[in-house]
Amino acid sequence: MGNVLSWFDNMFQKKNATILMVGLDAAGKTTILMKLKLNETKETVPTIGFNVESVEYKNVKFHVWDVGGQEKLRQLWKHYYEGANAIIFVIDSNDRDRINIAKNELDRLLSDPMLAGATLLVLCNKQDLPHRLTPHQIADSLQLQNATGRKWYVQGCCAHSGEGLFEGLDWLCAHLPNSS
Amino acid sequence: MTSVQHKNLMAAQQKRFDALFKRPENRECFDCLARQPRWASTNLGVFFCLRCAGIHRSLGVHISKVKSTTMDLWEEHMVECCERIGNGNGKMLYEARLPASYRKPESSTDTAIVERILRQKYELKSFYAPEFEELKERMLSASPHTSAPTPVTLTATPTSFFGTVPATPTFSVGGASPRASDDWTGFQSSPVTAGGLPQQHETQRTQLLSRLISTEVDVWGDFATGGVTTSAPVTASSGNQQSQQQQHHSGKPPLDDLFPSLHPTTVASAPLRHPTAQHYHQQPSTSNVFHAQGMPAAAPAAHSHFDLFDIKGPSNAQHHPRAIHHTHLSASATTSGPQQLQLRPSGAVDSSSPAAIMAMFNNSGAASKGSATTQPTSFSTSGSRQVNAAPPAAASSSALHDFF
Repeated sequence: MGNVLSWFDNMFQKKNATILMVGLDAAGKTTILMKLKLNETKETVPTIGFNVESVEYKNVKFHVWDVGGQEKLRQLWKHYYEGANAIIFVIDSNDRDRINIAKNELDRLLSDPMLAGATLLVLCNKQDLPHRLTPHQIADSLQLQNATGRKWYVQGCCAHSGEGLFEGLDWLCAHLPNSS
Repeated sequence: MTSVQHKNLMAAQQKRFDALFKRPENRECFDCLARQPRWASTNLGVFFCLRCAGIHRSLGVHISKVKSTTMDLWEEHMVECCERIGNGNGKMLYEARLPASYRKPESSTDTAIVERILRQKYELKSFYAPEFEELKERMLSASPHTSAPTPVTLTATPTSFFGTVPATPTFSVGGASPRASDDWTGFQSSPVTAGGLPQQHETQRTQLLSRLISTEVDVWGDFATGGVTTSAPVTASSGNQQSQQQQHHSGKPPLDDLFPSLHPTTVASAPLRHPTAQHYHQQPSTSNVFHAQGMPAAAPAAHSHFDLFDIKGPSNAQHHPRAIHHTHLSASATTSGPQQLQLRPSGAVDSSSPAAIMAMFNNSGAASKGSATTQPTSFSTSGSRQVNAAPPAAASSSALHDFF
């Protein structure tokens, strides 16, 4: 009887997951967060510091930390690594000039031992813009195939319309580390 | 780069910015009246406030590359661009054709209004100097020390604003409101769409239109048509509707405050990247997902990752993103809710009819491409609504006239 109850408990109990959402400045992190939380497309201002929101989706409660992406703020990302179950790395697909900078930042992120067990979701935002790189090209540029030992996933999205965001969360729900 | 080097570079850069901020023209945001602008566009070369930085960022990096003067390390050419242009020369470049009556929005002005002005300014380039490219080139090649008193003289003065308006609009709806017309690989459910182009155009129109219809901003109220006549045979779901439209503006538009001497006239299809919530999927569709999935065990070779891309076959055609957009359009056109576009009825024609909007949209879209040939554009939605608009050549004699 107790086993059945605990099974039910596991089935319906909400999981908690701490998500670190980072990426270069103007990638659309805050817009994504607002879209997930409020389902609103808001005009945002550059994040100086961080935003944190809880988003419930399916049976997971995501605590999303959205940290500013300006160069000086990137040095503060490390303070948010602790306890992160997953990383959402947001990329401005339209910003071809800085895809290499994004790659370097991602490499720095993934090489940190504190994030060794975290799953990685790469959101290729702004897929609605004319000069965008496709998720395929971005996966190539980021050389994600080298990220062995980590679950990763590349998802195209458009934060303004919301397309692709929940597909990304779906994958995240299914691939969160067991500890969360 | 070591952190010490980084620090030194930042300090040197800060000194240059401090010198720039001492100039009177750089003490105020380029786009509004806010004091102490600390953000800048590294390609436009002007300084603005935090709020305007947010709007500039939303324009996309193909228009404005925003950086913080305090939190980012800039490349040399970016700093030079700001030194040589700055808010002083920026006026010559980006505001050369501003109407004399234009007043800068205040820092308390509603962000949506400021956003529309900035889109008009930078996305549609409505106020750019006539010989903009050449002028900018000369400014950038000039020595930074001689840039403050600009060596360049302008042929167009603000007062000649309406006189210098080109006879034909220089921007196109499709181009100005960039929505990729080709496929989204990440969202592509079927590898190849047969006869892609017509459908792509249609998709583009659908997407733009759905944004226009579902936008929160009362676009039509502010920019109701004054002079545009649209002869568009409209096939609506309810039946045929011949419309000769003359839409009038009613109510006081917010932009009146900023362009007091101008009469808001028409819809210039100010591109709105505000598709709103109607695209929200409570039940996520699996069709438009790019699956690049890396699992340690399932990664035998580098290129074979992409074998795992889940490109759905034609069986999912009904869930194709384009189909989704169609659904959205019909949903957003029929649902009544806070997101619904507030349209002001005008004249004999019910301007709130989605078909009428589509007719106008088709019209302005085709006209702004500058094509004299009238291509009937067929536009179908899941609600079996159809618009065939044959745009008259003189539909929008001047985009700017129409807009204001």
